Amino acid sequence: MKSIEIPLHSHWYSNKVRPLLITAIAASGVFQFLAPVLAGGTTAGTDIINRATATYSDGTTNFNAISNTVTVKVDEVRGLTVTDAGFTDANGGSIATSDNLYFDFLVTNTGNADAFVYIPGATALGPMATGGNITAVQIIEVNGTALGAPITVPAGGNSTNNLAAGFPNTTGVIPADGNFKVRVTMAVTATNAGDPVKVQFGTTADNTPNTQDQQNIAFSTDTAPTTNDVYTLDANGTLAPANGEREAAASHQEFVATAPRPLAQTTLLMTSTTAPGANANSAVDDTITYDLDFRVNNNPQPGFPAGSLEGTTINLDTGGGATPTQRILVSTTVPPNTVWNGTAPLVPNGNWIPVYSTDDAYTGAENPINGVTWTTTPPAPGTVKRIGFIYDAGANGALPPGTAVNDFRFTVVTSGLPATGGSVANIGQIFGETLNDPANNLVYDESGDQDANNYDDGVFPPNPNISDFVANPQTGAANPNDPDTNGNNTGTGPNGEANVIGILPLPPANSALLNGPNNVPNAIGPTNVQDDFTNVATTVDTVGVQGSASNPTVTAPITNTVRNTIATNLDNVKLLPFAPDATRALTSGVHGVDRNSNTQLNDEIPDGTTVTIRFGAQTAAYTYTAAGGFAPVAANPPVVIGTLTPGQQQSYTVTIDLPANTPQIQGYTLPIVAFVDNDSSNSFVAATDTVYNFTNNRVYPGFINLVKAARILDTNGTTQLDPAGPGPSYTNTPTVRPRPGQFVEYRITYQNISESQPASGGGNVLLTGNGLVINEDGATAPNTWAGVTTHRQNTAATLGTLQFYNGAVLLGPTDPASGAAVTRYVNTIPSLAPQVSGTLTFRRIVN
Amino acid sequence: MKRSLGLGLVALATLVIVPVAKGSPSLAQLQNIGTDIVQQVVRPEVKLELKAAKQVQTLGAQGKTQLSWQPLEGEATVQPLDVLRYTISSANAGEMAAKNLVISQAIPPQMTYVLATARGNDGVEITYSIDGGESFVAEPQVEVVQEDGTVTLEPAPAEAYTDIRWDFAQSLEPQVVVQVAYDLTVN
Repeated sequence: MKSIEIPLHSHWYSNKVRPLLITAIAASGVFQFLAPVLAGGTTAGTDIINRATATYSDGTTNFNAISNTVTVKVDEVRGLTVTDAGFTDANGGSIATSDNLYFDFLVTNTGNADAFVYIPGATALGPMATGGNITAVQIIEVNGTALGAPITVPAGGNSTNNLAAGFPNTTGVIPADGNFKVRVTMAVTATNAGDPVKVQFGTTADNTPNTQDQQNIAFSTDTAPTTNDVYTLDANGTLAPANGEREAAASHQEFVATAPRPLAQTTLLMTSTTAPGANANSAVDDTITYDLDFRVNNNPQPGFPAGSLEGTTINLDTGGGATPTQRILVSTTVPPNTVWNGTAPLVPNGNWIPVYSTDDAYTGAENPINGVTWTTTPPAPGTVKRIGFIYDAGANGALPPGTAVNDFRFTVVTSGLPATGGSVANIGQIFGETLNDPANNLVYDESGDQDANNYDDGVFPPNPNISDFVANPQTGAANPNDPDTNGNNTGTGPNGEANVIGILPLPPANSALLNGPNNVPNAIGPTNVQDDFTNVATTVDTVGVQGSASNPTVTAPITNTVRNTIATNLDNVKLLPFAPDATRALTSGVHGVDRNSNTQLNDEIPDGTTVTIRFGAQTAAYTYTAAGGFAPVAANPPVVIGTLTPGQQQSYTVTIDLPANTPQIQGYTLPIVAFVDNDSSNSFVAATDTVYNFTNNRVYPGFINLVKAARILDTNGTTQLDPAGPGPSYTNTPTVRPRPGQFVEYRITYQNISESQPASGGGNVLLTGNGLVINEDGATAPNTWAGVTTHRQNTAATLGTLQFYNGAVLLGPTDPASGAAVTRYVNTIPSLAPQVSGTLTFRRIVN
Repeated sequence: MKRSLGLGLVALATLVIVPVAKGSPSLAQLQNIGTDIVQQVVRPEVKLELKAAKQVQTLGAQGKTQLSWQPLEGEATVQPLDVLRYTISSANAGEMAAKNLVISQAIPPQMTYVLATARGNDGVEITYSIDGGESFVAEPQVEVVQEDGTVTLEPAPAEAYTDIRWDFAQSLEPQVVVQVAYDLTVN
């Protein structure tokens, strides 16, 4: 325990008792601060009783003495505050004539006894308002809880006892420390930009000290009228307030908006196509052609009309040395393991000029407009790290909303890939500014999705009060683990998504036919093109620990794609599920793990698993048993793709229904084979059906594994008692029963157990955990730790954000002091990629 | 009339603390003659008297605020934030010295100690508890977590104080009165 190291300032304690004493001090000291104390002081009428005691001795015997008792009674003291509780424009955006504005005020009884409060109505507040008419006064919230039906304060005003029916306590009594929120609605009549709109709620200008918006002043000196005041009334006749009734007031002022702020919104899109090189058995001479398009959206928002796109400052060399120049820039990289082929990039029209940079795209903090020099003169192809396209809005005009500019193209050669192939990831970026934006804020987007300006999944704008939004352009390096899965700019999540494509040499023999994930039939698995995979998740009826029995729901349809890669037709192409062990024997690839030698989480599929394959109107369902493999549910023939012409691809779907008693949080791999049925037997026999290709559809009934463990530490906080030290180590089944003062340190480990993109593969469909929330609630069964232990500092989360709660009360993200009342720890992890794990560790001391 | 070295109520208001008187020679002699017998029949008898006064502010000459203490008697009333001064008078009404006199005072939960206001005679050791009387130290400390996550010990705030204790090193001789006092604020 840390305290041992800290010198004790009490001078008369021996070293021996020091640690114990400090512990006691720390615990009690902290508890004291948490004792509820009324803001308005001790409750009126409370008796405060005081008595002294003494001990003494005659040298042999000890005696006690007690004093007389002194009792004092606490007076009733009245207190009232009114504070500005915020402002809302009913239609969002900026304030305009005829807008309805909500001005909220919080009224708090800061006295130490019950009181009623008088609330002025629209009639009295109207003459005090500026720039609009008061149309309603309502009580919308009591003690922090919104009322289902707001209480309407009549135009003439009234006190809470006369509005009692609408209050949760049905009496209108505002207890000591109680509060309620009043909403004053104003219809704006001011017309000029910059005109003030103001609500004055209550007035203290007409009583001592005769200044506005005073808090808790004596109401007795108020001069008429009193209908425009917020003031207290006695709710309890037994005691009169020693300081008399009180009054308070507050106000809030806004201004009619100045001119709306146009905002250019741009969306950049990237697609790619591949072509094999001369050597069909090598991946190093394939080419990738990237195609970039962008649009300036016509998507006006409240307060933000659609703006035109103009240039921003880039470092440009047109032959006379690099100088800061205003240009719109569409930028992308020559991705790792590729080189530019030296052919001049294609531009949509003559106003666009290709530019190049030899500056490193992948290290450091530079981005394409900061620290990177662009040149219009093509460097040697092998040295080019980035390729861009620039537009001079000053000479050619800004691009108005609704503009679409398509088909920026350039080609790279995959010369850096291993001969056996791999994947290539790239991402595009666009830079500019809104025309006439005095702040010259950056307008920026990354490719991979349909969202403008790097906004998140349809959210516009990221901040409703956007005024200083500056994008944060990345280095330009694509993240292959955040792919635009379908390669068609339909990615999701923050920022942009990478265009990822698998490049592989044309495989021999049976890979004339490819079968793989949606639109990526050439995806490569851990071994080769036979064990590519699509991972999907499904929910279960009873959530439990890893391996516990569950009945998973049927998966959503999984889309796979087949393609003819040769120059002649492939006829009689059919689809079947195939037993994993038989598939392994055929391909030597990874298709699940044998149940008897299973040391991994990819378990064999359970008996009773049903697979349904659909193509067009055809449907065929199969049930699996370990003994018999897949058998048709009904006597139906396999789904027939039919003839695939050269280069043609077709997509089909698979749904998987795992049976009851399936162990959860494991992967179940179902190989699907596409084959040319040479002998029209309707069954797949590799010896005769030599043209075939597999893809794995892998279903996870839950794919995030949560494990809770603990260790028990002695009272010094360092000596580990269970599991036996020195640690740190944790156990799922503690055997030592901790004693008061000892520590229990809990650790929750979570992992995305789904398979990640293989090191040498690509194009597989992965499962990323989004919005994972670890909710450790010690007060909800079966947990009991909140009641018998107390929070200690040093809570640690390796990923995401932490929030601390005492019951329903959010304490915030900062680790509270040791001893604070904390009953719940919430760790939010926005995104958890395959195989990534993290921990949440927190420490409690036994009461 | 008993021999009191303490002052009367008027003096209380200004809180003058007087030293414990030295022992009476005659009593010392008696003890020397037959300690065992004396102890059976002669006992110290400490009596405690607790009084309270409320701090009141009045405007004095030249408009200056003056503080004075108004004794509280009977069913007195106070208001939140009022400052009360409690005074404990301890008199030995017995016939021999009271040794090891320790006066303890719990702070009522509705009140808060005013730091550094506990007083006693010279030589009295004043200690405080912030854990309901479990332990007493002269300068209570609490663990405070700094922004960088480290924990340091800092003086306990007034709200943390739960008890005050006066420990008299000297004996309280018969017929002698000592006084201790402390201030509290009404929550």
